[in-house]
Amino acid sequence: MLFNNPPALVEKYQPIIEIIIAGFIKKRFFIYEDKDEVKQMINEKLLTKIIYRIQETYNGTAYLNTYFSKIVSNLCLEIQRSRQWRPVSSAGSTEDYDIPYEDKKMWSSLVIEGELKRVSSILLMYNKSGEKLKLLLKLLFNVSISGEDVLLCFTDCNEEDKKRIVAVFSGQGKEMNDKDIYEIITPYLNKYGNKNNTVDAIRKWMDLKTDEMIELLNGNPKHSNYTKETFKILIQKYFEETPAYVF
Amino acid sequence: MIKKLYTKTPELFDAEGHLNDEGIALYVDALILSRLNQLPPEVIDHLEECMKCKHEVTELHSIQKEVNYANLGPHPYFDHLKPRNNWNYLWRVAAVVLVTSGLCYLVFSKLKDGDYQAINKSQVRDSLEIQQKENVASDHKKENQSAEKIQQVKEPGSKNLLAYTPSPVLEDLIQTNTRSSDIKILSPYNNDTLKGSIKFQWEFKSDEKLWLKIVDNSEKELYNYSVQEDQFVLQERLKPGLYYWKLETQDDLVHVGKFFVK
Repeated sequence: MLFNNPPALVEKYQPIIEIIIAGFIKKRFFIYEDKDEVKQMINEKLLTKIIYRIQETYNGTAYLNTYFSKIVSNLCLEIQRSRQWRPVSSAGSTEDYDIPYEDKKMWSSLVIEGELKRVSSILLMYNKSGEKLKLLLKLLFNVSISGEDVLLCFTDCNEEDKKRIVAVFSGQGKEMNDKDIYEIITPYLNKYGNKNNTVDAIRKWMDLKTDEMIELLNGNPKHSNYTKETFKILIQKYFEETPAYVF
Repeated sequence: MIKKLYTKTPELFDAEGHLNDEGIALYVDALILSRLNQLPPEVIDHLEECMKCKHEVTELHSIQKEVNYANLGPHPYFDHLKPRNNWNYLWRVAAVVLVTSGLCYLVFSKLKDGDYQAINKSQVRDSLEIQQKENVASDHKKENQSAEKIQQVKEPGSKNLLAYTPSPVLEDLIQTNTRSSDIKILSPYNNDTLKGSIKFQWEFKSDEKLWLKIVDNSEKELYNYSVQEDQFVLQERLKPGLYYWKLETQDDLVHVGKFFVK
């Protein structure tokens, strides 16, 4: 359909366009009343030139559906930048008519579920360092760890070290400050990672990754306002809700 | 441009070495379909380090998770509908080889016409002797390295190529599932690379009792479990290598799959 009948494809993908615009409204880049105008602008750009550019550039590697969504997202950002629309303040958001749910509690739980999914996708992008990152997040944010967590991070960990790590960080160990946590865990990170990092190097690495995750959650362009404190709360919630093993 | 020339999947990267729109879309597909481990390594490695691309993936993922992927059919990349032989990459490499060969020929022919005649025979003889000595030293070094490699392969438990050699018998069984119409495998997919606990999951239409067996690539049975549900988590740690898993009823071999452990 992309090559045989491009206008029909644009017609078929109208629901995707609406989902994307709704997403931008939720992030406060457009207001609800602009929905139809933005949709019209996107359809016009698609039908006059963008769909023909897609014909040339689409390689058939990803789903066309996903690729189309990326292109439409780019268009929304372009429109937002050209009109210099600014994100609307989130104060009093539950009273806004662009939120279709009347039940505020249900709305809140859906928002939290969405945020937890974002945390999950962000952690997955740290492919090589993901398990190390998760273990350190749990230790630093007072989330209980199990032998499973230790083994996911240190795949060659012997039984004695595994038990020792779990024992140290449970019970009274949960009251440790960050300095103590890094001093205890760094030798194990070095032993099982064949590295020779100092405690400060690990701490610096972790600070950098935490800042990265907060930046990703806040978005680009920025649409959220996570701080280290609210990030900690979200991560604690994430580990509470996520199963012990992640695939 | 040079970076693009040498990546194995140039169609997923832009001129600056970042993931292009299709690369971002592919990564989001992988996140939603839980098939990250089937992405090209250079894509995974790039995302590990690049905040710009991480942002784009995060934003697109938050949109796409609202889309119903169940109706989209087989995936063009993960289900091998699109050839992965990267002809663009091969043509580019061939072009570089041709141009380099042409330049070498031009340089050589110029030398032959002019300066080459000025080199006298004793200089040629001397340089040949030096080259011979270097070759002997290099051969010794290679022999030592080969001996080390053979020693490594023979040492049990070490990371070695034998642990990854496919079993011809089990490979054949993968191709011919005896009851493929009764079973749908949800995880792991064949050739997945896994670590830690391994979750096996399937949908089996029959009520027959099932056994799950884990076998190494020398066909040695390592574990045998009677399974009550449509999933099983293997807590035992497997050493790096190639493994096969079987689902069997009392009388039938229902499925054979394979995975790697890193």
